[in-house]
Amino acid sequence: MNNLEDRLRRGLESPLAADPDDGLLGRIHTGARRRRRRRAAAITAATAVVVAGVAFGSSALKGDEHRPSPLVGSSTPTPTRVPAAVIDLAVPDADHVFALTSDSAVWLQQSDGGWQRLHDFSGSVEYVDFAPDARNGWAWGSGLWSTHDGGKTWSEITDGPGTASDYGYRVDLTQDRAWSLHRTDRGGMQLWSTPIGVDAWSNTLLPYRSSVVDMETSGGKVVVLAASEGAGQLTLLSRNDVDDWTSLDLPCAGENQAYPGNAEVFVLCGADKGGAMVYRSVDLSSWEVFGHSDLTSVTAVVPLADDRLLLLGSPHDLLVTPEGSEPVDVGLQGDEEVFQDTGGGAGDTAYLVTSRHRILISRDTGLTWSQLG
Amino acid sequence: MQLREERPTYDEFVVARLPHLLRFGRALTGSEHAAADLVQDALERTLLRWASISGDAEPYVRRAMINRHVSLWRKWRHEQPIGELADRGYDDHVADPDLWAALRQLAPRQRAVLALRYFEDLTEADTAAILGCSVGTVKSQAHNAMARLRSMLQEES
Repeated sequence: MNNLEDRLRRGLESPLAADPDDGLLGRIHTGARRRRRRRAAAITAATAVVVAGVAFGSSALKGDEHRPSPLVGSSTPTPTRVPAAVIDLAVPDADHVFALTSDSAVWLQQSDGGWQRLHDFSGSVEYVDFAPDARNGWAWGSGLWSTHDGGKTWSEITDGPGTASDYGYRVDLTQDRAWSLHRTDRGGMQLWSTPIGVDAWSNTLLPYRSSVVDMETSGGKVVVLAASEGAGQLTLLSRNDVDDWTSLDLPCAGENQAYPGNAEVFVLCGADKGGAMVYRSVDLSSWEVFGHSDLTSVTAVVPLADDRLLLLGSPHDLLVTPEGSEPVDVGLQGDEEVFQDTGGGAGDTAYLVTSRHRILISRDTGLTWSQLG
Repeated sequence: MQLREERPTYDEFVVARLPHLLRFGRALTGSEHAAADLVQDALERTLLRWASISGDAEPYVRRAMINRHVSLWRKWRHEQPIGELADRGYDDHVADPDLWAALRQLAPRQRAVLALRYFEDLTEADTAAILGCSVGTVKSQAHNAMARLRSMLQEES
């Protein structure tokens, strides 16, 4: 053992600066009760919807144990400002921008620029995404929910991927299907998918399930990132809705990661060493050099389009394109960070969400940025 | 006849393991305040599933803490930056404040690897199993993290 390992062990073992809070156990019980109450309230509210549905002769909800949760936005006045504490955005098209706030509510931007609170979730929601039709959407965090009416009502998925333990969700879309990757209690991964528009989840056999670390979609294909045992090498496994899996090793080993865009995957090689080569794959069968970064540190990587990659870091932010790299300034303040991959965009417009819950917008393909609202 | 060891109640488990869990949370986050939030969140979830957890509950709590704090790829994005969570003045009260300042500069995944390897004394294979990655990734994460620490602390290898 060397000096630094000794020092690290001593530091990690050192006593806490403050004794454990006497009230912590009580707060844990209170917090757990609060979580139970939220769930019970959701069930109660959903039951009320079913009763109303039966009373009006509706058969759509009859016998459905996973009923849509109620619409709360219909009586909520339309605010005229950006909602507070935005943590995620979904931009299915130029006319629809959905925001998720830290209180697990989903909002829709109105044509006048104001925002309408569409729905409050019963559980903790961390991510939201919508299909390009802006009607079918998914939200996930402590559970998985779907909507098929543009976010007005949501149903919790309680079978298939809904049986996952907390935090395991990762949902993304191909043209016709929604895909959900989650970790099972035993540590392996499962991949489920459903046709967009319905909740009919089926399991997909996942190769190397014990070494899969994440999933995205790109170019109409499901892309799974797997860690090759022993070598520390990451491999992209991709498939479309019908094909078998094919694999593509990342162009470099080490701490490098892959960043799928809409129709391509980017990889930064050497980003932790100051300066990075940027590779791109558009066919998921080979890599090409896309550009170069001179950043000494990279804090976020945001694919804006198949020919535009935004790197945030120091000493500046950088827009990388096949024509070259151009310093830009997205306007982060102090230690503010971008919630990576929480933005979105349509056409020349792109959005970013920051750790200070600001929404940053660019209307010129990432060259200039300003704060929304 | 062999007597089965009686399982502690939930409250007994929390009281007995809380200091250790808080130190593990501190190792993950670099902050005692953030550790308290992390532990409370994990223990609330554990309480809700207490009846269905067989055997030692600590691995479940540990996994919940890691899942909450560290993403294998990108979930860190919804966590508050450590810079915001770190207690101001905290360094005045801990042993080796330079070490803690350096630890807070590491990526969450790197801190998780160090916490599991050097605080929990887990093997590389067990660390990989908890983090859901390969042994090679654990090795490279640990190597890079130690190299960064060494550089920041200007320690000789």
